[in-house]
Amino acid sequence: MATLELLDVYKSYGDVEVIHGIDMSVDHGEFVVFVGPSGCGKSTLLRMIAGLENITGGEIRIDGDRINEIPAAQRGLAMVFQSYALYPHMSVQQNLSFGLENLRMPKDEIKQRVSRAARMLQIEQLLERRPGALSGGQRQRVAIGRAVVREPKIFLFDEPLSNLDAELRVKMRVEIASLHQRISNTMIYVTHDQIEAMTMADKIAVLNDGRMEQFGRPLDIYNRPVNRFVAGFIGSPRMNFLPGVIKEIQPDHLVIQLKEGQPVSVSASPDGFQIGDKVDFGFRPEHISITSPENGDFKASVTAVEQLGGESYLYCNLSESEQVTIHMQGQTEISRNDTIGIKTDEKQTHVFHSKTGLAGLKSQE
Amino acid sequence: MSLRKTSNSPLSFIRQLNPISMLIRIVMELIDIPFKFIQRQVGINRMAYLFLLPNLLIFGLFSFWPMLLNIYISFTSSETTKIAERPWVGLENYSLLLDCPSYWVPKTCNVAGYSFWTGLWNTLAFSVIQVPMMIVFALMTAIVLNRKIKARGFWRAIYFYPVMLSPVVVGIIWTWILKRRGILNILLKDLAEFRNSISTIPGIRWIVAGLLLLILFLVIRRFWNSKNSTFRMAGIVACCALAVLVVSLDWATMIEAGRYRSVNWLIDRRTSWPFFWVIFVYSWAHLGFYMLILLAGLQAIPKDIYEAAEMDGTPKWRVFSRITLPLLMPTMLVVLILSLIKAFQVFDEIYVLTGGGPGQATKMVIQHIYEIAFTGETKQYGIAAASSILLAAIILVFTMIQLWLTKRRSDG
Amino acid sequence: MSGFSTIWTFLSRTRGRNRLDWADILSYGYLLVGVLIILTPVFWMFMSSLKSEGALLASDPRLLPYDHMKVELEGFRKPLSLFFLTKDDGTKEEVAFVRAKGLNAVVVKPDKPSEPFEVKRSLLTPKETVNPHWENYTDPTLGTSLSIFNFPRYFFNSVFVTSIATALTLLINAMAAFALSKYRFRGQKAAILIIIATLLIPPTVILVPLFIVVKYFGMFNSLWGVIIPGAATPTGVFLLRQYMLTLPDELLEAARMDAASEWKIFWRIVFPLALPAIAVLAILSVIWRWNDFLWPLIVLTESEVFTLQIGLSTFKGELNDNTHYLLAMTVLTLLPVTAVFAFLQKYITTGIAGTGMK
Repeated sequence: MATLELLDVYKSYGDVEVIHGIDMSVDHGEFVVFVGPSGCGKSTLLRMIAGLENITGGEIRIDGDRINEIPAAQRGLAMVFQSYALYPHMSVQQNLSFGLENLRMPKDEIKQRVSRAARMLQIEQLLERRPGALSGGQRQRVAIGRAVVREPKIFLFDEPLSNLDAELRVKMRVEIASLHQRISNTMIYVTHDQIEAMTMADKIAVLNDGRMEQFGRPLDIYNRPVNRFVAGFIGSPRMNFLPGVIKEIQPDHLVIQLKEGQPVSVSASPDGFQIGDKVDFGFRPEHISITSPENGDFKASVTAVEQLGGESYLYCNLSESEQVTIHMQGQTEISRNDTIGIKTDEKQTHVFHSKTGLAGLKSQE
Repeated sequence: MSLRKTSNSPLSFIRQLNPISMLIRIVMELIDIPFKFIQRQVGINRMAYLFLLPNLLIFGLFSFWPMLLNIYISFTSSETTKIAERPWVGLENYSLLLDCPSYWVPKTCNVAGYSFWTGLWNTLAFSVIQVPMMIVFALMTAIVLNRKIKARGFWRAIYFYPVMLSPVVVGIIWTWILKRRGILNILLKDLAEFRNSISTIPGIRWIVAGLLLLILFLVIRRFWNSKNSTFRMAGIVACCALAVLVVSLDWATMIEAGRYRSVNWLIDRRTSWPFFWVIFVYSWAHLGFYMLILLAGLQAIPKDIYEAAEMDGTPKWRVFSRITLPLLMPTMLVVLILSLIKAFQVFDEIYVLTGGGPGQATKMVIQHIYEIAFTGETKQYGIAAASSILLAAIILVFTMIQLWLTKRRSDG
Repeated sequence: MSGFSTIWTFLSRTRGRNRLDWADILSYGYLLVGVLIILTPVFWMFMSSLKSEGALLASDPRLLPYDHMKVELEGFRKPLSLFFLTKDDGTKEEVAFVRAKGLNAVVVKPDKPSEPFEVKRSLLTPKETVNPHWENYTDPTLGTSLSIFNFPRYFFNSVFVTSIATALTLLINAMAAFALSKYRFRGQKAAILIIIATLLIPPTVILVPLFIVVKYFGMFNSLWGVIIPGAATPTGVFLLRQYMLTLPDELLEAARMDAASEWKIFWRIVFPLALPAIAVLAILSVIWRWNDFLWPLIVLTESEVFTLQIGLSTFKGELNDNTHYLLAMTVLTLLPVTAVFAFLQKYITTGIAGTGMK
């Protein structure tokens, strides 16, 4: 059980700065997910917390104590690696006990902890096997088990599910989440998969290019992204963006003229917007309604239809180069080459500055 | 994970030898104590220096420092091994070696120069003859083994086996075979007698001619089936001419071998046999190694290239000359340079086999250095060092080429 | 060129896929001749080593170790050699040879030792029996002729040098390879360059100064003088480094998170995982050390510290009348290597082919 604080943390390799000052504070027992595209620095940040990378500037604190200079082994953390990094020449049992032996723990206690962890993760029957003789999911459990036996203050996960197939990934996702509920330690989890982030996290940190774009609860990030990057990264399929110009400013909403069709409105704070500003109008594929061509905010012609039975996706072209994805519940009669009308709801639309990408803030509900 | 194969490696038995593994474990735990202490002082990354230390220490003390000493010693003389007491003589040692009316005729030099230049020319001749000869046979063997051959592992193992034998053992084995009353002379004598006895068979002339004519007939038949008409005619005409020749020759006298006189293979001064056998025995002992590398090079050529060539209908000799040889060239170059470097340092086998004799006929340059420094009545370390430096310069060139080649290969 | 290609296709034309064509026959023939050239000398060596001293002196060309049979008879101090006497009617009779007398020989019948008679020597053929002389092996190893060739001593020295040197080589080369493959530190490139540079200094060109250095450290005429200077090998470092580079860094990081010291990471994680490469180096080192000749020849001048190779070559140089021992000891020297090779040949050949270095 521990808290974790990052204070203005920097990292550079030689002249190249890769982490540009990150502040964050994690309460104990929280499950925090670092999410971002590959190369955004999320793994580097995790490894800095772990002690595997030097901290160039700033400070990391665990339970209020500065740990910058403390070697990895003594920070009281445990990490689950992307490739699991199980020692291939040791049995599962030896893999689990290796770290405890290094800490000169009494043999009895090592035995107890290993068997407790093995029972919890249902790998008791595998203890004598070598990692090479295990399936992907089993290896994953052993890797988690190796972290669990250490009884660390904080668990670190570095993209632990990326080597599993889709089905297994869903299963392990649930298991890690339930592990968190059972032992309720602080956990930091790195992934590039925003679905993992949304489903597992208490809080999500969205990272991009060495900066933290937004840090908050999953639904807050979904509903109120602070900029265009977060809006596009979180949510699947990604948010649709259409260029437009501010036409009218009201206290609680903005009216935007798109290149064609009716003006659309966004309920957001007008701070920082002026009439005539170029903006991007954003709306999620699931947040529109389909109407007849004349009644919608704008028209679109359908170029492809994907029917999944329970849900359907429409891919549409607006008259010029813009494309729009639509997500509908259930099945649909609409087919390729149909023209439809699209109607948006001002409560569920977003507006971003074209230049800065900053969002018009939506009010809390 | 592919690494789990570790457990099947031949060294895994070490783990089962309990007293030894206990001892190793205790030693390793003991080493851990000072290492841990130092790690706490200097941090993780600087531990690399500690891990490098023993190796670099040995390289320093027993490679670099001696190399520097070598240069110094080559400018000093006297028999003492105490460096400080060795008088500086400048270039005298070099001039002893290099002041020669003619390098081509070592006899014109003084004693040391005679020995050095004899050794150097012998070494050069040895390398120039031995290396290509061995590579040709190594390549042939590798190519044959790269065919669809049954029991490839068996053949490969047998050809590699002499590489495992020590030079002394190789030397003794071949001395035993090549001595005057050794098995080689006995076999050759038997062969000569056998030929003599065949030549006295009445009508042998016609028996041999008949057999050869039969072979010629089979060849003619194949030419007869050939589609290319000029080729067919040329072949048939050639075969007929050969047939006339075969019939007209007196095979009985050609088979007759006369009385066999045993050759003293390793001692006979009047012939080049000692030099030949030195080359042969050395190649016998080392061929397997280069064959193995060439075979690995051949097997590294992707099979689909050959399949593509087959789809294109490329003739076999063209596949060999346009695909196999060019793709094998990097390996060939490495083998060439490696074997040249080794040949220049040849000593062990020859020392045991002929001791450099007869006279100085097979004395190589390393033997010159060894004898002048360690076996003579006066130990001329200075001259030996100067000779070493001259030799080192030659080897250096080849080694640089080798490094350049390996670097180029790993870069490409 | 086209003429040449026609000849080639003509000659290499095969008749059927499944039949041995002439190229196959040639291949097997070539391989067979090579194998004969390789194995016959070794085999002949072995067969010769079982022969009696007398048979070796007489250069008996037969494969098997024949002994001239002898018999002890009343009235003669020494045992007499047995011969077959071919009689006029072609039958043979056994006689014992007493002494020569011109072209004739004085012989007796074994059952009537007191009645000597003369026969032409050309009518006598020796009575022989196959008798392997294992004492050629046992004498120098178990006792009677230790003073001539102290095999146990030399063998022990060779085993000592080979095992200690190999253990040392593996340990320090693996350490250096570990440092060069798994750390980033200042001077890393310099260290690699230094090790490459030692490739440029083959031991054969520093014999004199190396001798002086070794003598300075008091290792002249000591097995350590053979072991230490060659313990660090650039070949070994690069071979192991190349392999260790393929081990994932995450394993080391996991071990660091597991509170393992750097030495422990080396010894418990990296060393065991590099075993395939280490085994290759071990085999190479054993071959090098067991067969090493020139350097031990310089450092070891007293027979108590001779290795087998030095013992054998000295023995060969000194004595011509103990050939039977020399041959037997040569066989004993090549036997361990042969045995190791027989068991590990697949591993050795693939390992060496993989590294392509020596």
